[in-house]
Amino acid sequence: MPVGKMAKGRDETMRKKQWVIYISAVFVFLFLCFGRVNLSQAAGKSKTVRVPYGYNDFLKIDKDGEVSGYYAEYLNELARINHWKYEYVKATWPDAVRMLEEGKVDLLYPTNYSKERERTMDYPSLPVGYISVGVYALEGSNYKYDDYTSFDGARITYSKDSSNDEKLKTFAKEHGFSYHSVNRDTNYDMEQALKDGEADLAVFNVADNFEGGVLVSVMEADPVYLTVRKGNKELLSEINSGMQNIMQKKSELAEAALRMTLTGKNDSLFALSDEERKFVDSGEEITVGFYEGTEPLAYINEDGSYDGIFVALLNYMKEKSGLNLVPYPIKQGQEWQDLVENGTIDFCIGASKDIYSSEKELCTTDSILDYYMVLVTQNDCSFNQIGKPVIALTTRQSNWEGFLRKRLKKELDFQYYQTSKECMLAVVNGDADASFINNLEFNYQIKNNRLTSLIRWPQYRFATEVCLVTNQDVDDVKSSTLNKAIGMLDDEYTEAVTEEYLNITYHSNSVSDYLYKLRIPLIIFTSFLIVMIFVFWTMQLYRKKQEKLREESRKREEKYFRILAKLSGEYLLICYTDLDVDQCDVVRFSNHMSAWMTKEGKRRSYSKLLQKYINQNVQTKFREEILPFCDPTELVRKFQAEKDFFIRYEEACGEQGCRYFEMHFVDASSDETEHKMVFGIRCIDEIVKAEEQQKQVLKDALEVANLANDTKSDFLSKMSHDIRTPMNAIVGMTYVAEQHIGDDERVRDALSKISRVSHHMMGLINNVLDMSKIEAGKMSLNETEFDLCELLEDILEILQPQIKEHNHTFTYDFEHIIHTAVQGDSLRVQQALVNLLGNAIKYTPNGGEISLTVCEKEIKANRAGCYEFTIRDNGIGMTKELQEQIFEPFQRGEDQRISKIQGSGLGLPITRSIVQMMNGTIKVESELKKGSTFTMTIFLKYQDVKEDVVVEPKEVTPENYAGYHVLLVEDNELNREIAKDMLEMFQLEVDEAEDGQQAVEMYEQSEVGYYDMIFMDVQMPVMNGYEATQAIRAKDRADAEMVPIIAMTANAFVEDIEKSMSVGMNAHMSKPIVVKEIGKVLAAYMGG
Amino acid sequence: MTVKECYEKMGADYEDVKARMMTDKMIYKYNKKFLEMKEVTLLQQNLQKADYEEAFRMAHSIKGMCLNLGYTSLFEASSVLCEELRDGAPTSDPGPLLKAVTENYEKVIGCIGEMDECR
Repeated sequence: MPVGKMAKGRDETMRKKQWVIYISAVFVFLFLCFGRVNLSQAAGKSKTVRVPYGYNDFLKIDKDGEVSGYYAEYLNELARINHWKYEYVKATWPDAVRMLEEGKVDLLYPTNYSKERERTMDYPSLPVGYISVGVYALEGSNYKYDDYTSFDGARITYSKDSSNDEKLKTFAKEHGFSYHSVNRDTNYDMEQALKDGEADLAVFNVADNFEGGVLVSVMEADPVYLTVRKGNKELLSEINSGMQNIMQKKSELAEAALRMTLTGKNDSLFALSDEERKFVDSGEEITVGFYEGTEPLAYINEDGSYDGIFVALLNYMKEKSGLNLVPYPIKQGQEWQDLVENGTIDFCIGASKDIYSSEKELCTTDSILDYYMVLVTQNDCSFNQIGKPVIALTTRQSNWEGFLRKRLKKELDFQYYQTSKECMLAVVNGDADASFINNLEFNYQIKNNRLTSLIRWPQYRFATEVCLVTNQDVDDVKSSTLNKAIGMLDDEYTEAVTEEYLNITYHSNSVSDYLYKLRIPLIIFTSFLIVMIFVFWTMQLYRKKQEKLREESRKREEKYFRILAKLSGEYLLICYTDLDVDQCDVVRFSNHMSAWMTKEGKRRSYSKLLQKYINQNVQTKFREEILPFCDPTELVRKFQAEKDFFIRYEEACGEQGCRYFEMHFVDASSDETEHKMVFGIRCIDEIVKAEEQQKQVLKDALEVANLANDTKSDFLSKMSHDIRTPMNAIVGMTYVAEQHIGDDERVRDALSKISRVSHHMMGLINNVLDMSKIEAGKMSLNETEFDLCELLEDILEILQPQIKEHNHTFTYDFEHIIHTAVQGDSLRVQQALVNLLGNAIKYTPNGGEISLTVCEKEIKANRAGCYEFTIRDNGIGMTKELQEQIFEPFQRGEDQRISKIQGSGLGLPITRSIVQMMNGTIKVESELKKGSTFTMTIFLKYQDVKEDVVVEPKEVTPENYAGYHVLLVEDNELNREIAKDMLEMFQLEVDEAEDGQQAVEMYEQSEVGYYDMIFMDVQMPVMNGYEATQAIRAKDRADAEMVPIIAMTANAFVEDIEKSMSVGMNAHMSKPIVVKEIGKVLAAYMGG
Repeated sequence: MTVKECYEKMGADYEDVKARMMTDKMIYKYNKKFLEMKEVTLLQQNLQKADYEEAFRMAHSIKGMCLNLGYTSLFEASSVLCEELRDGAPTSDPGPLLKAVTENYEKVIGCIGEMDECR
């Protein structure tokens, strides 16, 4: 039968069914009219219905009493509805027919309709199914399928009691063959007849099992009925209502029963027709695509082999039929239609016949497998309450949309995924409300732990037939062969395969599935890991903390030890001693002790150790004192008085002399029960010696102080003497004057003497007061303007009487004084000079020579003069020692020669103090018996410059110097320009030099007398002003020493001025240069 | 800004300079000339390369110019640095002293820049 005709065949069957129903309805009417009602069975009570069995596979009872068979379920449902109880009666078919007539059984099935039978039986209005009648040959016989010519003349056996007789007649007539009838009663007898060679062919219901038989043709299907004995109306009406009930409420059961007989599924083999045989023998491949990853339907094993229910079925079909069926995997997401079109596959397995057969462009085969399509949701889903649920479908299920809308009676939205698993996951994840998949895949996928929350809805369960499908035309032979191969599928085998593959273990390549599956061990492991890490971490922390603490305590100990070591560093020996047992631990000892010690830390007897030390090292004179300390009991006694004591002693003298040492005993007992001691020896030689030195210093200081005191006392006694002498004179002369009142001559003489000594005494007292003022730092200078020459003349006048008295020759030289009008403390200057001159007069034997020279060194710019006073005598002179002492206060030459000379000894110290206050110096040069020279240098400010008597500036008239040449030496360009501009105001011709070197060269190259003056900067690179001046002065030229060189510096130090003079410069001009100053200098050196 | 205002702004002794230079024109001329002098730059460079002898000479030179032009504050700053460098290497860090010189110099330079020309 070509595939294309399959759908058509179906329509015919439906039409036939309607016809049967119509006919049945007529019979039911007849039964209702003529049958009698059996009232023996009371309604509501369970009634026993006797059912025959054992003559076909519709109802089988095994030795355990288990009922099975095609109709078992259907009959049970019928019994449930009508409250029946079955009593099974084993029988053969003819027996069963007879027993129904005899009333030994109540129900017969499956009964074909025939007029003859209607006489003895009543038929219900609906058939329970359809049964085809097949023509069988022995397996291996030469009969081909539908090869009617070969049937001609065959001996055909059939059951006399069945309606098959009439059917066979019609069938033979239709197909034009004749036959010989071989009548047998039972299926067994017919089989036997075939096997014994008494018949060639047999006619059976295809539902009946014929081992070793092959179907060579199938007659049209006839409806079959559950029949009752003629007149058993009650049972008949119960059957009718029960069947209606099943039709309405258990349609799938009714359909299954109907389909069972229609397709004639049994173990019988279809014989192949001639063409079909050729096709099989050609070995042409029929490639059947299956979607991989649809466990348990079809999938690829890890070793690459194909597996699954479909694959097993295909293999079985291949084995049974010899058809070269080749399974071909289709990837999820690939369209099988494309593969068919490009010739990769011929068919695709797994299509739902109900859905696909209605699509005209597709061809479907017979069903290879039945399964249910189920609606799947989350277990807490109220599917019916969702208005427009989203259904997850695989992409190849798109043609299910209409079916589902119709069957679920709902508006639906569809979401497409590649695999059933993805659909299910979508439901779990909430992306879809439900999915619609086959129960086999569902049963497999539900093993995935992620999908366990899904459930099937029993009321939305739809049985469907699975078939092969293609979208290309298939030739008739190929399709009929394929359908026959499908027909060779054994139900038991299919069931077993389904069962087997439903039990395969769940397999997933998905990591997330794997992780989900392992979630509990993973969680446990992770928790364990976390706990372990935490524990480890805590332990680590604890260990670190402990380590830190240990480290800290170690460091602290180390620190204390270091402190102790540093503090005890000066100790040569330290022992920790237990006095109770006379044992000591040597904690520390130095090289000094190593001579009689052996090892540090070794325990030894304290008393012996110390005795040994004392005997070897300590000087004999100290031993007696120290030895008692060797006795521990003695020490314990001593510690009661004081906790800490020292003994100082000297060690026996060695290379370093006799050194001082000290033993230190410290009580280290923690309580009264024990007696511990720390004992140390250290060298205190340096300390002792330092102490001694200190004592010496103090002693010396005391001596000095005493000496100073003595000096002062001595001085005071001398002073007292010096003061008493004139006082005596005053007292004496006053007495004389009183005695001679009236004698004017005598009185005047006395008064004159009194006056003189008074003045002397006044001078003494003044000196003492001055000195004390100086020593207290209270003396100050009182500056006034005065004329130096006048002052000098005054002094000479004062001293004149003394000079005359001593008959000295006095000479003086004031010629070198330039400025006489000066400022300063004239009284102090006078005092200093009087002191110096007075001393010269006093300490020069009568008739000596005394001279005073005054010399002024000009420091013009400073507006002050440096005055040097030189006092020379040819007197008694002084020793070197005395020269060093004379400026110290309270010293007077301890010289017999001058003992009669009156003096306070304060004159020179006062003089020096005055000079120092005036920033001057005082020096003495002297030779014993030859005389002395005192040189006093002081600085005195000039009075107002205007009154400068020496250089009277002329009115600056620039024309004055026209034609004169000057050389300006200055390194700084700006300063040079300024100076040049100023010089040019005087109409001078100015040549410029940038440094000393250049100046010297220009001077050399000039004609003699060309330069009338040189203005010289001092600080210059290459050659400075001093050097240049010296170089110029050293030239062998007529003007070398003559040309005036004027220094220009910013420095105003006296040394600088002195330096400039010493190198041969004529004058000094300080910066900034002032026009007036230039004028003065020009006037002074160029004579205007 | 007149010469006088300029001198007042830079804290210089205008009266002194005026007495010596006689006219503002001269003062202006020398001030402009001062802008061309490189001594301060050289001083900085020499100090940087520790050539104290040359640095001393520069400081001294600056001191001289300041006296001439009456830049009192710059004179004081340069004098201190000059004395520090008189005996060769300084005993203390000359940085702050140089900084004082530089600051005063920049002030002076700035003021001269604002000085109106005198004819």
